[in-house]
Amino acid sequence: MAHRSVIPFGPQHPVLPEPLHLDLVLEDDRVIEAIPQIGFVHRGLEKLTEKRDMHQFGYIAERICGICAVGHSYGYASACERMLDIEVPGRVQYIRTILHELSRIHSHLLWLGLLADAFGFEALFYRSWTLREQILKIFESTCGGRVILSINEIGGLKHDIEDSELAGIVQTLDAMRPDYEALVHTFLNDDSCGERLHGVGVISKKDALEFSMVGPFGRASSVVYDVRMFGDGAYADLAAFEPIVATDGDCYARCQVRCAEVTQAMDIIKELAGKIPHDGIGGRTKLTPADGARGEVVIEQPRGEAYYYVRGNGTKNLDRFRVRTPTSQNLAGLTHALQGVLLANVPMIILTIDPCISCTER
Amino acid sequence: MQKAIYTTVGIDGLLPHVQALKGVGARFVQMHAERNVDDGSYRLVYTFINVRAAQENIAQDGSYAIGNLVVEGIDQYQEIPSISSYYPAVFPFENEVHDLFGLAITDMQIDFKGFFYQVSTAEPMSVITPEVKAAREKAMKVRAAAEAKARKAAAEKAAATAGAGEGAAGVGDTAGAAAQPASAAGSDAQHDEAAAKAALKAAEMEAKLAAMDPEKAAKVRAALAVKAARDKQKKEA
Repeated sequence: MAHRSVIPFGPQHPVLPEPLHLDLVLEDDRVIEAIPQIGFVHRGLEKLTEKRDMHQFGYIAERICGICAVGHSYGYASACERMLDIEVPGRVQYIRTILHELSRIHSHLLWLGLLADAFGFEALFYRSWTLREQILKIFESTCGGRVILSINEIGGLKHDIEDSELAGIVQTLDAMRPDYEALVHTFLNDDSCGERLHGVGVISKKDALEFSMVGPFGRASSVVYDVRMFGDGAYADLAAFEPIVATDGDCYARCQVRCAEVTQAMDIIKELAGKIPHDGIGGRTKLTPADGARGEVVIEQPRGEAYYYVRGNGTKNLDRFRVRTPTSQNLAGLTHALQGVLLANVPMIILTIDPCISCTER
Repeated sequence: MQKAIYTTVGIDGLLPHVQALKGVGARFVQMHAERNVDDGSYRLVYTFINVRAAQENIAQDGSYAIGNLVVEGIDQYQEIPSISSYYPAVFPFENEVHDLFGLAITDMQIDFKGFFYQVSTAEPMSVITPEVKAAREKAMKVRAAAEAKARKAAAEKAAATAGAGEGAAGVGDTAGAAAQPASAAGSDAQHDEAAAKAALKAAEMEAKLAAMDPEKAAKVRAALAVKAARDKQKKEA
């Protein structure tokens, strides 16, 4: 008869960069049930709208997370602009999109490094993060910060990024491509990687839809859903956009999707930088939302669909700010993916949903 | 282009609506709670996207909708049915609403029973601080004052127009073109002038009241109503 036990996993664990706790119910070394627990770093940022006005809160929104910082400020500013009925110039939309896609590249490279580290391939970890460093240098040279860029504001941008700088970004990305392709080749074709990823944590398309999974986690299970395909903002001007989808639904498929999304992001940046309009960068506007005015947007963060909602109350402060991050949406899928797997594979599966607990806890 | 559609439903109508959305293949996006500062009630917002319908709409007119179900006027401790039997991904949000707002969600598939977040203050998001209340009242006063000012400007404009009409009537009489008696025209003009003055006085009083503390304003209004009733009685007597 199988021996049943409960193992507490996290919040401190070598594979977890952020605190997530799981109660793993095991039969021998197979997981029967996984119950997630978060709340260790909950900061109550949504409540801070009471103390910070709409412009000040942009800085806080950007600090929800250190990896998706650009996306959070982009989403927050877009939601406020929708609430205030402000239309930003095309150049603003292009620059926001370019920075957002750069953020996707750096996030995916960070994740690839963590994945390599999790299965003990230190050289691959090192190479992934070396490439990521080039994106951080682009951020530093164009915006002055490596993580927190503080370029977005409600109504536009704080400063422009010159065409020459955009050309430099494209040049850097083009120069990165050969190294990146070699890196991807190792991730997808090396036996030591494949053995840890193939057939692990499989989620079918039906289950992925049932659990409303988002981002690469969902797309690796054949869910054709990427907010960018709706063509909002600068994405509308792309010649073509197709979500990257894999069919196997396992850890390998999730790795495949993220690897391909980096190349896709490079292509998007190159295309947008080539046809960026010159119609100004907008600017700070007077903030007078009507009482009860609402604005909401969904954007595709590196980890998947993120939702931003703001509600005005006639004052300079917001009545409510709400951000729903991809990880909180994927928690149900994670618990499902863990059912029936071996205990040894749990870290790999947790890692392949790319959990961002800082975002989730807000 | 994203559009947002808000559909208000009652607590009883929530599950049938969610079931219908599930039936047409809508994706669950999120749910959150809000507290109404004015009356202290709660509001729940459930968000969905129907991807297939969105793609069809984008092909037609380039726009797509984010659908929201809004449950208004919820009292704390009023039971709200969980939608986790239709959308299991809702469990973190329902537990969050319970822990941060103190709302009672029933039949959650994964229920942390108040231990989802480790909060130092019970139901922190339901707290309406005095600062928030004061800011809200101040904004309402400013808005009321602005409206009263606009009304006053409109009344002044109406008075000016009435004055100009009186002048025009006088010119007409002098020319002898109209058969209307001069005394009647003068009486009408006096009546208009008195009405305009009364409107102006009322607008000024309204502006003063808007700038006052709401409690004091209510007392003044009550006193004015008593005085008006007394004057009317005297006039009738």
